[in-house]
Amino acid sequence: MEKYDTIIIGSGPAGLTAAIYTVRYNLKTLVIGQDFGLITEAHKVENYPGFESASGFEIMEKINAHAIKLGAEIVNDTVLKVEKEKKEFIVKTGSKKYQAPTIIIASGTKKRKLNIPGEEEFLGKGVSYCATCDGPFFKDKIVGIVGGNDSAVIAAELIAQYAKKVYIIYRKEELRAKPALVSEIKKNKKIEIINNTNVTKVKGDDVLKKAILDTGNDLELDGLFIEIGTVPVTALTDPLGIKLTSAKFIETAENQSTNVNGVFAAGDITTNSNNLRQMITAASEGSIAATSVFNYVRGIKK
Amino acid sequence: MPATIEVFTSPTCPHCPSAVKLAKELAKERDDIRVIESSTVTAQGQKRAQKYGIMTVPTVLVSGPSHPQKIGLQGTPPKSSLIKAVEASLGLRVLEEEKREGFFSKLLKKFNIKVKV
Repeated sequence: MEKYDTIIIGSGPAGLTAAIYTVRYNLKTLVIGQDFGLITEAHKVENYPGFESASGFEIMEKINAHAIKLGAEIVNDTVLKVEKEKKEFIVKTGSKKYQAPTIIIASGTKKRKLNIPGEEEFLGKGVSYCATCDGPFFKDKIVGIVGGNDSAVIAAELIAQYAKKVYIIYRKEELRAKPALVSEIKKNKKIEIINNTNVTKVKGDDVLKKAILDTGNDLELDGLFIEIGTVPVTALTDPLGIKLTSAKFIETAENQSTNVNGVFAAGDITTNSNNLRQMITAASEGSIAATSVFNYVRGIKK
Repeated sequence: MPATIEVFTSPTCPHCPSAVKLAKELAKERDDIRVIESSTVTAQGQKRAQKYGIMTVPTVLVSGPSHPQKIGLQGTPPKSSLIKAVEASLGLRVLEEEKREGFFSKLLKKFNIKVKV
Protein backbone atom coordinates (compact mmCIF):
# COMPACT_ATOMS: atom_id res chain seq x y z
CA MET A 1 0.00 0.00 0.00
CA GLU A 2 1.38 3.41 -0.98
CA LYS A 3 2.08 5.74 1.95
CA TYR A 4 1.86 9.52 2.02
CA ASP A 5 2.13 12.31 4.58
CA THR A 6 -1.29 13.53 3.54
CA ILE A 7 -4.10 12.50 1.24
CA ILE A 8 -6.36 15.24 -0.08
CA ILE A 9 -9.85 14.13 -1.08
CA GLY A 10 -11.16 16.44 -3.78
CA SER A 11 -9.42 18.22 -6.64
CA GLY A 12 -11.29 21.52 -6.70
CA PRO A 13 -9.93 24.90 -5.59
CA ALA A 14 -9.59 23.90 -1.92
CA GLY A 15 -7.96 20.55 -2.58
CA LEU A 16 -5.49 21.72 -5.21
CA THR A 17 -4.48 24.82 -3.25
CA ALA A 18 -3.90 22.60 -0.21
CA ALA A 19 -1.69 20.41 -2.42
CA ILE A 20 0.34 23.41 -3.59
CA TYR A 21 1.06 24.24 0.04
CA THR A 22 1.71 20.71 1.32
CA VAL A 23 4.13 19.98 -1.51
CA ARG A 24 6.03 23.17 -0.75
CA TYR A 25 6.16 21.99 2.87
CA ASN A 26 7.92 18.88 1.50
CA LEU A 27 5.05 16.64 2.50
CA LYS A 28 4.47 13.61 0.29
CA THR A 29 1.06 14.50 -1.11
CA LEU A 30 -1.64 12.59 -2.94
CA VAL A 31 -4.78 14.23 -4.32
CA ILE A 32 -7.69 12.00 -5.30
CA GLY A 33 -10.54 13.62 -7.19
CA GLN A 34 -12.81 13.17 -10.17
CA ASP A 35 -12.81 16.67 -11.57
CA PHE A 36 -12.21 20.32 -10.72
CA GLY A 37 -15.44 20.73 -8.78
CA LEU A 38 -18.59 22.77 -9.20
CA ILE A 39 -16.70 25.95 -10.07
CA THR A 40 -16.16 24.50 -13.53
CA GLU A 41 -19.83 25.06 -14.27
CA ALA A 42 -19.27 28.81 -13.99
CA HIS A 43 -18.73 29.91 -17.57
CA LYS A 44 -17.72 33.37 -16.39
CA VAL A 45 -15.79 34.15 -13.17
CA GLU A 46 -15.01 37.84 -12.75
CA ASN A 47 -14.12 38.08 -9.08
CA TYR A 48 -11.07 35.83 -8.72
CA PRO A 49 -8.11 38.19 -8.30
CA GLY A 50 -5.82 38.27 -11.30
CA PHE A 51 -8.53 37.05 -13.70
CA GLU A 52 -10.70 39.85 -15.07
CA SER A 53 -12.95 37.34 -16.77
CA ALA A 54 -12.34 33.64 -17.23
CA SER A 55 -14.31 30.43 -16.98
CA GLY A 56 -14.06 28.42 -13.79
CA PHE A 57 -12.52 25.61 -15.83
CA GLU A 58 -9.76 27.85 -17.23
CA ILE A 59 -8.77 29.03 -13.77
CA MET A 60 -8.79 25.49 -12.40
CA GLU A 61 -6.59 24.26 -15.26
CA LYS A 62 -3.96 26.78 -14.19
CA ILE A 63 -4.21 25.81 -10.52
CA ASN A 64 -4.00 22.13 -11.48
CA ALA A 65 -0.92 22.74 -13.63
CA HIS A 66 0.68 24.66 -10.77
CA ALA A 67 0.11 21.80 -8.32
CA ILE A 68 1.48 19.22 -10.76
CA LYS A 69 4.55 21.33 -11.55
CA LEU A 70 5.39 21.52 -7.85
CA GLY A 71 5.17 17.75 -7.57
CA ALA A 72 1.70 16.91 -6.30
CA GLU A 73 0.54 13.46 -7.31
CA ILE A 74 -3.03 13.73 -8.59
CA VAL A 75 -5.14 10.65 -9.23
CA ASN A 76 -8.37 10.77 -11.23
CA ASP A 77 -10.52 8.46 -9.15
CA THR A 78 -13.33 8.35 -6.58
CA VAL A 79 -12.73 7.75 -2.88
CA LEU A 80 -15.29 5.21 -1.73
CA LYS A 81 -14.28 4.80 1.91
CA VAL A 82 -11.88 6.10 4.54
CA GLU A 83 -11.06 4.00 7.59
CA LYS A 84 -8.84 4.66 10.57
CA GLU A 85 -6.38 1.95 11.60
CA LYS A 86 -4.50 2.95 14.75
CA LYS A 87 -2.99 6.31 13.82
CA GLU A 88 -3.23 5.94 10.05
CA PHE A 89 -6.03 6.57 7.59
CA ILE A 90 -6.66 3.99 4.89
CA VAL A 91 -8.23 5.65 1.85
CA LYS A 92 -9.95 3.25 -0.55
CA THR A 93 -10.99 3.81 -4.14
CA GLY A 94 -12.60 1.12 -6.31
CA SER A 95 -9.25 -0.43 -7.17
CA LYS A 96 -6.57 0.85 -4.77
CA LYS A 97 -5.76 1.67 -1.15
CA TYR A 98 -3.57 4.45 0.13
CA GLN A 99 -2.32 5.28 3.63
CA ALA A 100 -1.51 8.52 5.44
CA PRO A 101 -1.54 9.91 8.99
CA THR A 102 -3.55 12.92 7.81
CA ILE A 103 -6.34 13.61 5.35
CA ILE A 104 -7.86 16.83 4.08
CA ILE A 105 -11.48 16.47 3.05
CA ALA A 106 -12.16 18.96 0.26
CA SER A 107 -14.96 17.11 -1.47
CA GLY A 108 -17.14 20.15 -1.92
CA THR A 109 -20.83 20.20 -2.63
CA LYS A 110 -23.18 18.80 -5.23
CA LYS A 111 -26.30 20.24 -6.80
CA ARG A 112 -29.42 20.10 -4.68
CA LYS A 113 -32.29 18.13 -6.19
CA LEU A 114 -35.94 19.18 -6.26
CA ASN A 115 -37.01 15.64 -5.31
CA ILE A 116 -40.15 15.71 -7.43
CA PRO A 117 -41.73 12.89 -9.46
CA GLY A 118 -40.12 12.50 -12.86
CA GLU A 119 -36.90 14.31 -11.92
CA GLU A 120 -34.82 11.14 -11.79
CA GLU A 121 -36.61 9.50 -14.71
CA PHE A 122 -35.94 12.41 -17.08
CA LEU A 123 -32.38 13.13 -15.95
CA GLY A 124 -30.40 13.38 -19.16
CA LYS A 125 -33.67 13.33 -21.09
CA GLY A 126 -34.54 16.96 -20.54
CA VAL A 127 -33.74 17.42 -16.85
CA SER A 128 -30.26 18.78 -16.17
CA TYR A 129 -28.23 20.38 -13.40
CA CYS A 130 -25.52 21.80 -15.67
CA ALA A 131 -26.29 24.66 -18.05
CA THR A 132 -22.78 24.85 -19.46
CA CYS A 133 -22.86 21.10 -20.18
CA ASP A 134 -26.29 20.71 -21.70
CA GLY A 135 -27.44 24.18 -22.82
CA PRO A 136 -26.44 23.54 -26.46
CA PHE A 137 -28.83 20.56 -26.72
CA PHE A 138 -31.76 22.98 -26.44
CA LYS A 139 -31.22 25.10 -29.54
CA ASP A 140 -34.54 26.65 -30.59
CA LYS A 141 -36.32 24.80 -27.76
CA ILE A 142 -38.31 25.90 -24.72
CA VAL A 143 -36.52 25.61 -21.42
CA GLY A 144 -37.39 26.20 -17.78
CA ILE A 145 -34.95 27.00 -14.99
CA VAL A 146 -35.91 26.40 -11.39
CA GLY A 147 -34.26 28.78 -8.94
CA GLY A 148 -33.72 32.44 -8.20
CA ASN A 149 -30.07 32.71 -7.17
CA ASP A 150 -27.03 33.88 -9.15
CA SER A 151 -26.54 30.43 -10.70
CA ALA A 152 -30.13 30.28 -11.94
CA VAL A 153 -29.95 33.72 -13.50
CA ILE A 154 -26.54 33.08 -15.09
CA ALA A 155 -27.87 29.77 -16.44
CA ALA A 156 -30.84 31.62 -17.96
CA GLU A 157 -28.56 34.10 -19.68
CA LEU A 158 -26.42 31.26 -21.07
CA ILE A 159 -29.28 29.06 -22.24
CA ALA A 160 -31.07 32.02 -23.85
CA GLN A 161 -28.20 32.07 -26.35
CA TYR A 162 -29.49 28.75 -27.69
CA ALA A 163 -33.15 28.38 -26.71
CA LYS A 164 -36.23 29.92 -28.28
CA LYS A 165 -37.68 30.75 -24.86
CA VAL A 166 -36.49 30.52 -21.25
CA TYR A 167 -38.72 30.57 -18.18
CA ILE A 168 -37.23 31.21 -14.75
CA ILE A 169 -39.54 29.56 -12.24
CA TYR A 170 -39.00 30.84 -8.71
CA ARG A 171 -40.90 30.13 -5.51
CA LYS A 172 -40.75 33.69 -4.13
CA GLU A 173 -41.78 37.13 -5.30
CA GLU A 174 -38.34 38.55 -6.10
CA LEU A 175 -35.31 36.77 -7.50
CA ARG A 176 -32.49 36.85 -4.94
CA ALA A 177 -29.68 36.99 -7.48
CA LYS A 178 -27.43 40.07 -7.57
CA PRO A 179 -29.36 43.09 -8.86
CA ALA A 180 -26.91 43.63 -11.74
CA LEU A 181 -27.53 40.09 -13.01
CA VAL A 182 -31.30 40.41 -12.64
CA SER A 183 -31.48 43.67 -14.52
CA GLU A 184 -29.49 42.13 -17.40
CA ILE A 185 -31.89 39.23 -17.86
CA LYS A 186 -34.92 41.47 -17.56
CA LYS A 187 -33.72 43.17 -20.75
CA ASN A 188 -33.63 39.80 -22.56
CA LYS A 189 -36.87 39.27 -24.49
CA LYS A 190 -36.40 35.53 -24.56
CA ILE A 191 -36.44 35.25 -20.76
CA GLU A 192 -39.66 35.34 -18.73
CA ILE A 193 -39.83 35.15 -14.95
CA ILE A 194 -42.62 33.13 -13.37
CA ASN A 195 -42.57 33.99 -9.67
CA ASN A 196 -44.37 32.63 -6.60
CA THR A 197 -44.45 29.25 -8.33
CA ASN A 198 -43.06 25.76 -7.71
CA VAL A 199 -42.62 22.84 -10.09
CA THR A 200 -44.33 19.83 -8.51
CA LYS A 201 -43.82 17.20 -11.19
CA VAL A 202 -42.29 16.66 -14.63
CA LYS A 203 -43.80 14.47 -17.32
CA GLY A 204 -43.05 13.22 -20.77
CA ASP A 205 -42.60 10.09 -22.85
CA ASP A 206 -39.10 9.25 -24.09
CA VAL A 207 -38.10 12.81 -23.25
CA LEU A 208 -39.37 15.58 -21.02
CA LYS A 209 -42.52 17.26 -22.31
CA LYS A 210 -43.90 19.38 -19.51
CA ALA A 211 -43.61 20.69 -15.98
CA ILE A 212 -46.61 20.71 -13.69
CA LEU A 213 -46.79 23.87 -11.58
CA ASP A 214 -48.41 24.37 -8.20
CA THR A 215 -50.52 27.16 -9.66
CA GLY A 216 -52.52 24.49 -11.48
CA ASN A 217 -50.93 25.21 -14.85
CA ASP A 218 -48.81 23.00 -17.07
CA LEU A 219 -45.76 24.42 -18.78
CA GLU A 220 -44.72 22.71 -22.00
CA LEU A 221 -40.96 22.37 -21.90
CA ASP A 222 -38.18 20.58 -23.75
CA GLY A 223 -35.71 21.10 -20.91
CA LEU A 224 -35.69 21.88 -17.21
CA PHE A 225 -32.54 23.04 -15.46
CA ILE A 226 -32.49 22.85 -11.69
CA GLU A 227 -30.43 25.55 -9.98
CA ILE A 228 -31.57 25.62 -6.35
CA GLY A 229 -28.25 25.58 -4.57
CA THR A 230 -25.95 22.85 -3.34
CA VAL A 231 -25.58 20.30 -0.56
CA PRO A 232 -22.32 19.08 0.99
CA VAL A 233 -20.75 15.81 -0.15
CA THR A 234 -20.23 14.13 3.19
CA ALA A 235 -20.63 10.43 2.37
CA LEU A 236 -17.18 9.66 3.82
CA THR A 237 -17.58 11.39 7.14
CA ASP A 238 -19.93 9.19 9.15
CA PRO A 239 -17.66 6.14 9.49
CA LEU A 240 -14.94 8.40 10.88
CA GLY A 241 -17.25 10.08 13.38
CA ILE A 242 -16.61 13.54 11.98
CA LYS A 243 -18.89 16.14 13.50
CA LEU A 244 -21.28 17.81 11.07
CA THR A 245 -23.60 20.77 11.41
CA SER A 246 -27.36 20.29 11.18
CA ALA A 247 -27.06 21.16 7.48
CA LYS A 248 -24.43 18.41 7.09
CA PHE A 249 -21.40 20.65 6.58
CA ILE A 250 -18.18 19.66 8.35
CA GLU A 251 -17.56 21.57 11.58
CA THR A 252 -14.02 22.92 11.46
CA ALA A 253 -11.95 25.04 13.80
CA GLU A 254 -10.21 28.18 12.53
CA ASN A 255 -7.19 26.06 11.60
CA GLN A 256 -9.45 23.76 9.52
CA SER A 257 -9.11 20.83 11.94
CA THR A 258 -12.12 18.66 12.75
CA ASN A 259 -13.04 16.74 15.88
CA VAL A 260 -11.04 13.73 14.62
CA ASN A 261 -7.27 13.86 15.05
CA GLY A 262 -5.53 14.00 11.71
CA VAL A 263 -8.65 14.96 9.76
CA PHE A 264 -8.85 18.43 8.28
CA ALA A 265 -11.40 19.93 5.92
CA ALA A 266 -11.43 22.83 3.50
CA GLY A 267 -13.65 24.53 0.95
CA ASP A 268 -17.39 24.50 0.37
CA ILE A 269 -17.83 21.49 2.63
CA THR A 270 -17.00 23.56 5.73
CA THR A 271 -18.73 26.47 7.43
CA ASN A 272 -15.61 28.61 7.75
CA SER A 273 -14.96 31.87 5.90
CA ASN A 274 -18.24 33.20 7.23
CA ASN A 275 -20.10 30.73 5.00
CA LEU A 276 -18.96 32.63 1.93
CA ARG A 277 -18.55 29.82 -0.57
CA GLN A 278 -16.35 31.23 -3.26
CA MET A 279 -13.26 30.01 -5.05
CA ILE A 280 -11.03 32.41 -3.16
CA THR A 281 -12.27 31.33 0.27
CA ALA A 282 -11.92 27.68 -0.75
CA ALA A 283 -8.31 28.33 -1.76
CA SER A 284 -7.68 30.18 1.49
CA GLU A 285 -9.04 27.31 3.58
CA GLY A 286 -6.96 24.86 1.55
CA SER A 287 -3.79 26.75 2.46
CA ILE A 288 -4.74 26.90 6.14
CA ALA A 289 -5.56 23.19 6.21
CA ALA A 290 -2.23 22.42 4.56
CA THR A 291 -0.35 24.44 7.17
CA SER A 292 -2.20 22.64 9.95
CA VAL A 293 -1.31 19.31 8.35
CA PHE A 294 2.36 20.37 8.22
CA ASN A 295 2.35 21.24 11.93
CA TYR A 296 0.55 17.99 12.76
CA VAL A 297 2.96 15.81 10.77
CA ARG A 298 5.95 17.66 12.22
CA GLY A 299 4.56 16.89 15.67
CA ILE A 300 4.34 13.19 14.81
CA LYS A 301 7.87 13.05 13.49
CA LYS A 302 9.44 14.62 16.60
CA MET B 1 -11.47 -7.49 -30.33
CA PRO B 2 -11.27 -4.60 -27.82
CA ALA B 3 -14.02 -2.87 -25.89
CA THR B 4 -14.94 0.60 -27.13
CA ILE B 5 -15.51 3.53 -24.80
CA GLU B 6 -17.25 6.35 -26.65
CA VAL B 7 -17.39 9.63 -24.73
CA PHE B 8 -19.93 12.22 -25.89
CA THR B 9 -18.67 15.72 -25.15
CA SER B 10 -19.10 19.35 -26.01
CA PRO B 11 -16.53 22.17 -25.86
CA THR B 12 -18.47 24.09 -23.17
CA CYS B 13 -18.94 21.07 -20.94
CA PRO B 14 -16.62 21.42 -17.92
CA HIS B 15 -17.00 17.82 -16.77
CA CYS B 16 -16.23 16.32 -20.18
CA PRO B 17 -12.41 16.56 -20.07
CA SER B 18 -12.45 14.45 -16.87
CA ALA B 19 -14.55 11.79 -18.56
CA VAL B 20 -12.25 11.66 -21.60
CA LYS B 21 -9.15 11.64 -19.38
CA LEU B 22 -10.56 8.77 -17.31
CA ALA B 23 -11.32 6.72 -20.42
CA LYS B 24 -7.86 7.34 -21.89
CA GLU B 25 -6.11 6.54 -18.62
CA LEU B 26 -8.01 3.26 -18.37
CA ALA B 27 -7.12 2.42 -21.97
CA LYS B 28 -3.42 2.98 -21.14
CA GLU B 29 -3.62 0.66 -18.12
CA ARG B 30 -5.15 -2.17 -20.19
CA ASP B 31 -4.66 -3.35 -23.76
CA ASP B 32 -8.27 -4.23 -24.49
CA ILE B 33 -9.91 -0.80 -24.82
CA ARG B 34 -10.13 1.80 -27.54
CA VAL B 35 -11.49 5.28 -26.86
CA ILE B 36 -13.53 7.51 -29.17
CA GLU B 37 -14.52 11.07 -28.36
CA SER B 38 -17.72 12.21 -30.09
CA SER B 39 -18.11 15.96 -29.86
CA THR B 40 -21.77 16.92 -30.07
CA VAL B 41 -20.93 20.15 -31.92
CA THR B 42 -19.77 18.18 -34.96
CA ALA B 43 -22.21 16.80 -37.51
CA GLN B 44 -20.98 13.27 -36.89
CA GLY B 45 -21.22 13.66 -33.11
CA GLN B 46 -24.71 15.14 -33.31
CA LYS B 47 -25.84 12.27 -35.53
CA ARG B 48 -24.54 9.69 -33.11
CA ALA B 49 -26.02 11.54 -30.11
CA GLN B 50 -29.42 11.56 -31.83
CA LYS B 51 -29.10 7.88 -32.72
CA TYR B 52 -28.74 6.99 -29.05
CA GLY B 53 -31.09 9.68 -27.71
CA ILE B 54 -28.30 11.45 -25.84
CA MET B 55 -29.25 14.86 -24.45
CA THR B 56 -26.59 15.35 -21.81
CA VAL B 57 -22.83 15.41 -21.70
CA PRO B 58 -20.67 13.77 -20.71
CA THR B 59 -22.32 10.48 -21.60
CA VAL B 60 -20.13 7.39 -21.85
CA LEU B 61 -21.19 4.44 -24.01
CA VAL B 62 -19.30 1.19 -23.58
CA SER B 63 -19.58 -1.63 -26.11
CA GLY B 64 -17.74 -4.88 -26.63
CA PRO B 65 -17.82 -8.22 -28.44
CA SER B 66 -19.53 -10.08 -25.60
CA HIS B 67 -22.38 -7.75 -24.78
CA PRO B 68 -25.22 -7.22 -27.26
CA GLN B 69 -26.01 -3.67 -26.15
CA LYS B 70 -24.07 -0.58 -25.41
CA ILE B 71 -23.82 0.16 -21.72
CA GLY B 72 -24.58 3.81 -21.00
CA LEU B 73 -23.20 5.89 -18.13
CA GLN B 74 -24.27 9.50 -17.56
CA GLY B 75 -21.76 11.99 -16.24
CA THR B 76 -18.15 11.14 -15.44
CA PRO B 77 -18.46 7.67 -13.94
CA PRO B 78 -16.37 6.48 -10.99
CA LYS B 79 -13.41 4.52 -12.35
CA SER B 80 -14.70 1.31 -10.77
CA SER B 81 -18.04 1.65 -12.64
CA LEU B 82 -16.26 2.17 -15.95
CA ILE B 83 -14.09 -0.89 -15.31
CA LYS B 84 -17.22 -2.95 -14.58
CA ALA B 85 -18.86 -1.77 -17.82
CA VAL B 86 -15.73 -2.60 -19.84
CA GLU B 87 -15.43 -6.04 -18.27
CA ALA B 88 -19.12 -6.75 -18.87
CA SER B 89 -18.75 -5.77 -22.52
CA LEU B 90 -15.79 -8.16 -22.83
CA GLY B 91 -17.68 -10.98 -21.17
CA LEU B 92 -15.43 -10.94 -18.10
CA ARG B 93 -18.24 -10.22 -15.66
CA VAL B 94 -22.01 -9.84 -15.41
CA LEU B 95 -23.26 -6.48 -14.23
CA GLU B 96 -25.22 -6.58 -10.97
CA GLU B 97 -28.09 -4.76 -12.67
CA GLU B 98 -28.31 -7.39 -15.38
CA LYS B 99 -29.01 -10.09 -12.87
CA ARG B 100 -32.30 -8.38 -12.18
CA GLU B 101 -35.12 -9.02 -14.60
CA GLY B 102 -36.15 -6.11 -16.72
CA PHE B 103 -32.71 -4.55 -16.96
CA PHE B 104 -32.54 -4.69 -20.73
CA SER B 105 -35.96 -3.23 -21.28
CA LYS B 106 -35.11 -0.37 -18.91
CA LEU B 107 -31.82 0.27 -20.71
CA LEU B 108 -33.50 0.20 -24.10
CA LYS B 109 -36.06 2.78 -22.96
CA LYS B 110 -33.51 5.08 -21.36
CA PHE B 111 -30.99 5.07 -24.15
CA ASN B 112 -32.98 4.21 -27.22
CA ILE B 113 -30.40 1.52 -27.85
CA LYS B 114 -31.39 -1.42 -29.98
CA VAL B 115 -30.14 -4.89 -29.25
CA LYS B 116 -27.52 -5.94 -31.77
CA VAL B 117 -27.84 -9.52 -32.93
